[in-house]
Amino acid sequence: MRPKLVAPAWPETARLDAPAKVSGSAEYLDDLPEPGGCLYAAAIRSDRPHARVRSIDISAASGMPGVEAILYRDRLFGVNAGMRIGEDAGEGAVARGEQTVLSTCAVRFEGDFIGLVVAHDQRAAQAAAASVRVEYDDLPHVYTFEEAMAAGAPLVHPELGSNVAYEDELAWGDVGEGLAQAAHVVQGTFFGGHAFHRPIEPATSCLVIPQGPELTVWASAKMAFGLRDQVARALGIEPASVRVRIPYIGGGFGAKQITPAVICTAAVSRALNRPVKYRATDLESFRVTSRHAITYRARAGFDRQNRMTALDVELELDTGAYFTGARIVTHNACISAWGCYRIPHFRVWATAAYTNTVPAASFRATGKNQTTFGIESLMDVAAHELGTTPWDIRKANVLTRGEFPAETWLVRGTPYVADVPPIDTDFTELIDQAMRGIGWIAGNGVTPGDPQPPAVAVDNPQPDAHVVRGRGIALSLRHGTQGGGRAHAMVSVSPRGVVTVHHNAPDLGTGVYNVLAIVAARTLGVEQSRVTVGHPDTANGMAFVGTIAQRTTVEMGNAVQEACRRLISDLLDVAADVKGGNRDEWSYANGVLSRGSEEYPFELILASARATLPVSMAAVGSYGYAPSEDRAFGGLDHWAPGAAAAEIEIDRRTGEVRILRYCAVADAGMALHRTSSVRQVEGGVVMGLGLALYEELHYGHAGLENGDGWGYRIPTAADLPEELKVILVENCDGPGPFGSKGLAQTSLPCVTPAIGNAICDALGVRITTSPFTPERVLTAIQENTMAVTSQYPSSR
Amino acid sequence: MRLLRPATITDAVHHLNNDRDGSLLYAGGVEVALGLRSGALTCSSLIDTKRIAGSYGISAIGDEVRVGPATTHYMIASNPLIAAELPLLGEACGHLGTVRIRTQGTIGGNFAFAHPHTDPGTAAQLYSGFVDLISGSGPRSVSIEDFWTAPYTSACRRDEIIESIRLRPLGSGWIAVHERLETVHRPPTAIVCLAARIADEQMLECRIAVGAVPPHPLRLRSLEMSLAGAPVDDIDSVVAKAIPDVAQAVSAQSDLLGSADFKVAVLTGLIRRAADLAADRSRHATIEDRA
Repeated sequence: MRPKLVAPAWPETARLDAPAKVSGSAEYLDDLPEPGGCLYAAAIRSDRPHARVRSIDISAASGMPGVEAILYRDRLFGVNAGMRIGEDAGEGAVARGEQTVLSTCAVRFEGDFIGLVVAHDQRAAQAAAASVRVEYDDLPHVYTFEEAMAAGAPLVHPELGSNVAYEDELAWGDVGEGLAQAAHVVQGTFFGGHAFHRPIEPATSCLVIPQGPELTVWASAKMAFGLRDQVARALGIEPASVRVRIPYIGGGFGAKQITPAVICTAAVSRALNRPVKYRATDLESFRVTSRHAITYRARAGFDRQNRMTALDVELELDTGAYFTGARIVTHNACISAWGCYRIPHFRVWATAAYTNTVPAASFRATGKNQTTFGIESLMDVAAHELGTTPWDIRKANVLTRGEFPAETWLVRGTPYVADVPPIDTDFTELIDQAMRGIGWIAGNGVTPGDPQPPAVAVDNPQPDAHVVRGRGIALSLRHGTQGGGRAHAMVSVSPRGVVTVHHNAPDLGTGVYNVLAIVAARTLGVEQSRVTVGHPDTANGMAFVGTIAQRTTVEMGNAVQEACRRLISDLLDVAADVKGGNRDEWSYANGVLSRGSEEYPFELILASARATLPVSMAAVGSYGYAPSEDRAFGGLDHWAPGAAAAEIEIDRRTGEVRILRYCAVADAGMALHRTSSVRQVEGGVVMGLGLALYEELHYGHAGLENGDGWGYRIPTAADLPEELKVILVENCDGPGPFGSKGLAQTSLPCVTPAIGNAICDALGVRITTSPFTPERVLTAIQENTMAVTSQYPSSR
Repeated sequence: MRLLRPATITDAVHHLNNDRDGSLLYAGGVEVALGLRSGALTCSSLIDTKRIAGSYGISAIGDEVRVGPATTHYMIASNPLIAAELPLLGEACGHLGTVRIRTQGTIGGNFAFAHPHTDPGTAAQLYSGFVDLISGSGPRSVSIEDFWTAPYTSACRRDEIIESIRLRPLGSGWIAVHERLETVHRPPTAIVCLAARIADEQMLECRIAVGAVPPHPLRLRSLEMSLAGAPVDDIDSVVAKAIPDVAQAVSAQSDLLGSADFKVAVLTGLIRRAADLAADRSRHATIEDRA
């Protein structure tokens, strides 16, 4: 473990992007000036969940005013229609059903991509796309994991012979032996359904500009180089011929995938040698990607001291129509299924199945929201059945600082030596802080075993007999980033004293540029106002997998820091060259190069060196993990723990759940920008409230029944808890710059279990299906049963 | 598309009759704009009713309160005469939609659109009153209780314009409560407007109007009669016994807001909550609570 550092008292300045965003001058994709002659694209999408495409008639559309081109299976404009997009299936793939650039013969979900119409204006393109007549032979469909796995179920990909998309397994110890040792076994099944990320910006959009033999693809995307490579491969051109640029992004949460529509827009643009802009409509956004529906079914054994002896988990994932995120999400669900507990014997087996639903892929805290709901609910079930408290059972079992989950494990039967860092947080402290945060326990250092009554006077002076209150806690242990290759960044300084960071980490709204500016400013010892951060641009050559999986602060932050250190080293050389003396006699601090009594701001040194140096100096830094053999967590460099406590109120007459108090605790390592860090954690809580209380995609007779902005609503400021508190734990022990960690996904997974546990505390009834809508809560009250059925999904 | 801006109701009726099938009336345009944009509505001319004399405003006329059809929800929610005489209508208009909708949308548009989830329409059911209509054939008045006939369908014909809305205050001694279940800014799942006269822990008289669950706002006359004379402590049991009758009266349908059974359960839950609140207010009656 790196030595513990002390957080320096850096003054916090306004977020780098705040002035532009507050004033409205920040440019998102739709704000970019459209070049002269720009055309506009609209997608042709399936309105059937499963069908063979018998014919596509474009005659009406092609004759409409303003229509320039129609890309579909009979007119490809140079695109490789059969190229698979999405991740590599990997060794655990049972069968491949990856999405191709174009659906030519069959459609597998409502919204499947059939083609693209390009016209002089957006309305003309959309009208023409709507007039393309596609004739289908409808096929039977499946909307749930259970339907997909039933005997004789319709096959989403008939050529595969099965609806199983992927299987994964992680185990250590002997779970059978562990359960046999148990004095008490608890079990439960918990479900979290499909959801949409709902970024404020369309889920996919681009502006493609051909410039000679090259294409510039402006895109709202999270992975610049991934998009560059896929576009190049689909068009059969060199990656160097494609330049991807990314402006500000209006939210991602996993939704900003590489899509067929963007690839096909690039194809038409290149073929016509005209700029083409594509922007998904709101309806299309709901049909680009979604969250997996996951069932967590588990048995846990406990000894007479309430210590867990074994955990046996079975996961069922509905991955939608294509393989898009099956491997990553299934694996992430497996490696998070054990929560954060000391478990001698553990096994999880996961099966992902294809269904005729929107392809599921990454979603903030990918695969971990539903497993955290499962394990954290199960711990409360255990506390109830064992006659102890939610906090005592957690404290008795949670891993402590320095412990490892296991020394070896089996991944799909193959043994690996565990290659993970030891637990780098103090969960008991996090539990206490969260409970204190909602007034569940009072003061400092009170033993949670003896909680005091909460101060309940929260805007409800006259609660009546029909209103009940409850409290719940939950923990989460998001693993730090894995894989993805090295992150590269370049930092340049000019003789005018301007520091510029060149990178390819898209800012999805989280404040990435601000973090990179802070790292550069603090490392170089200059005012942050002197640092500018460019937008991602593959032309700068700074390879990075993308702003995904809570990696940017650590990976790109370290790359920037290394670039700055190299820059300082180079500046020392230049100072010696220009002003004389040995390099070792020169030192650098706070933007000033000095030797003895001589002191020069670095810009002065650069100006003095103009005769021999280019206008500015630059250095490249990089950061990556050492290769690892471990196929479970390999490459993991830190843990990102979180805890939460919630106090809620329920009206037993209507099933309404009101969040009175919520406290989220995040181990930030060190918050590089405290305000942004707090907002990140708060944002995770608010997003989690949506998933816990309101949000789910409904599939029924009419297909995707609420795949629009009206039917699918997310929380707004009016739905926030009456008291929302965020506590950042800063031990300066993370692997990122100045001891920072990733924290973007620490708070989200805790929300559903914390609220679910609070509901159970209030009602004495556990609701096992999220979200906890008034209907599910009212049904639970009326049926007073531990397992609640509901209207959606119909089979559940 | 032509935009017509008549200054008198006569001119508006004239325009409407000249292009009966191709013209649309609008005031705030909240629903009309959405309908036109989505293609659900088409028209050759739009008739702006906001400049018609008398279309705005709230006034006391005899024992009634007259509300002009182009009066916005915000104006109603913030009007002192409404607060004193029709407080439930004011509260309902204050809860409806969003700030934008409340400042833009009008009560005439809300009534004419006949959205089943209307808060003002449900509140208006509590007050006896009339909607005054006018067409080329002359004026007529329809009682509030008969105004809505089905989802998105009212007694206002295609050739008619709403001239005014007249509501009669409940009078002294009544306590009125507006309760609703709404999640994440969807249309409310259920709306209950309840007014009661309560004395000595006994419900002497009550009126109950419900919205969102039935096809259009309506009064639950049978339950009103069952509750009349009931001790306050018995309200829960009286409502519980009436659930089958309520279910039959409201003809709830399952949709994305919930199953039919759930909606009836919520509706009766809200009635119980509203009755409890009314009873509680009767114990702490203030002048503001009197309807």
